[in-house]
Amino acid sequence: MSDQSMLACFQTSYQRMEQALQRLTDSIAAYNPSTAAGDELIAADDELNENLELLVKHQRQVRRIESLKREAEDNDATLRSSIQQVANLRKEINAISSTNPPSERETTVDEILSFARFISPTTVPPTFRKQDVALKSVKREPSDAQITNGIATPPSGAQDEEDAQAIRSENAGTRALKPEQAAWLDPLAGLPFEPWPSVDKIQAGALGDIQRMVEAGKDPASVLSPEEKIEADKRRAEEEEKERLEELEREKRRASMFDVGRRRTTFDQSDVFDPDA
Amino acid sequence: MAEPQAKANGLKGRDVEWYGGASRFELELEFAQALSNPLYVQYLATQKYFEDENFIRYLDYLQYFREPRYLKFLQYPGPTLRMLELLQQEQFRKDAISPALTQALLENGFEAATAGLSK
Repeated sequence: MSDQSMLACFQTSYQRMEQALQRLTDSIAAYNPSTAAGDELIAADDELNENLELLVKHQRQVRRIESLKREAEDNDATLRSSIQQVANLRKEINAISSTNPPSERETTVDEILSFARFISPTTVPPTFRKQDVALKSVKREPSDAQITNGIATPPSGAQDEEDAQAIRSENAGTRALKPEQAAWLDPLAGLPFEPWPSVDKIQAGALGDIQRMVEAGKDPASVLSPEEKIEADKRRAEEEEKERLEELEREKRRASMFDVGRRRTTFDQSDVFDPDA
Repeated sequence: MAEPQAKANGLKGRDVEWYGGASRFELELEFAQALSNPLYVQYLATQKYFEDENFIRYLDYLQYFREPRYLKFLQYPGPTLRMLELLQQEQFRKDAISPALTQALLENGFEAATAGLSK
């Protein structure tokens, strides 16, 4: 409903109101009050109230329309600016990529990521306090004299166990010495494990196996590689085959020998010189 | 049939790439990384390995682990390469026996590996 039509509506109801009032007052002035005129007045008043309510609603809606229009305009402006920004960024990106030639390298990104994952357990400890490092060196010196007695890959297995026990008792000793510094003993115990393989790991590896073989008197060179093992298996199979065949041959020969013996006896019978035949 | 006859001679036809149940590359990889542990280096020094010409040349040969296609097998790349580099220096090989140097290497290695976090 436009303002004009609202206005016209009001005007008509005002007029009606006025007319009704006029008629009533006229009738009262003429000492002839007519209830019809009164009713008319009441009806006109009601109509006026209705129109007032209508006006209120109308105003509210007009205001809502305005606010919505404003909102729509704001959104339009935002949209326009966003599109503009996107266009600008696109231009920038195109400008950048044209000056940067794609790197053709041997190592792909995937390889580097998988390598990072590969070395992650052995690099950078999860918890570390820098201030404890200074204290650690003082503790290490007394234990050094014992540890340097061939801790890494010692020539005999018995000595190795002894040393391991020495280290463990040493650690226990240090712990007893400084009970209040239990916190920094963690990096101390974790120190040899940190950026290089520990002694235990070295001994548990293939080199350690060879060491133990040498100590046990076995020649590591005699351990066959997989290809050699297949060859050896094949050869053994062939030999077994040959043996079996030979066995069969021998059996056959023995059996045939008996046959020959039998034939000779029968042959003998018929071969006996019979002077009378 | 000529192959099995050659291998039948035992040691003469031995496969150089295989020793004691592990391939040559596995053993070299293990050894190079074991070197990154300063205690092991000190032990080798006490056993007079560093005075053997062949051993020194072997250490030089191990430098091939710098190449990317071999580097990717190292689980301790930093300390391993660092130690191989240090072992090229004659003075270092001579000093490797001293406990002070070993201690310094232990501290240094540890700090170098953990430098990123504290900052």
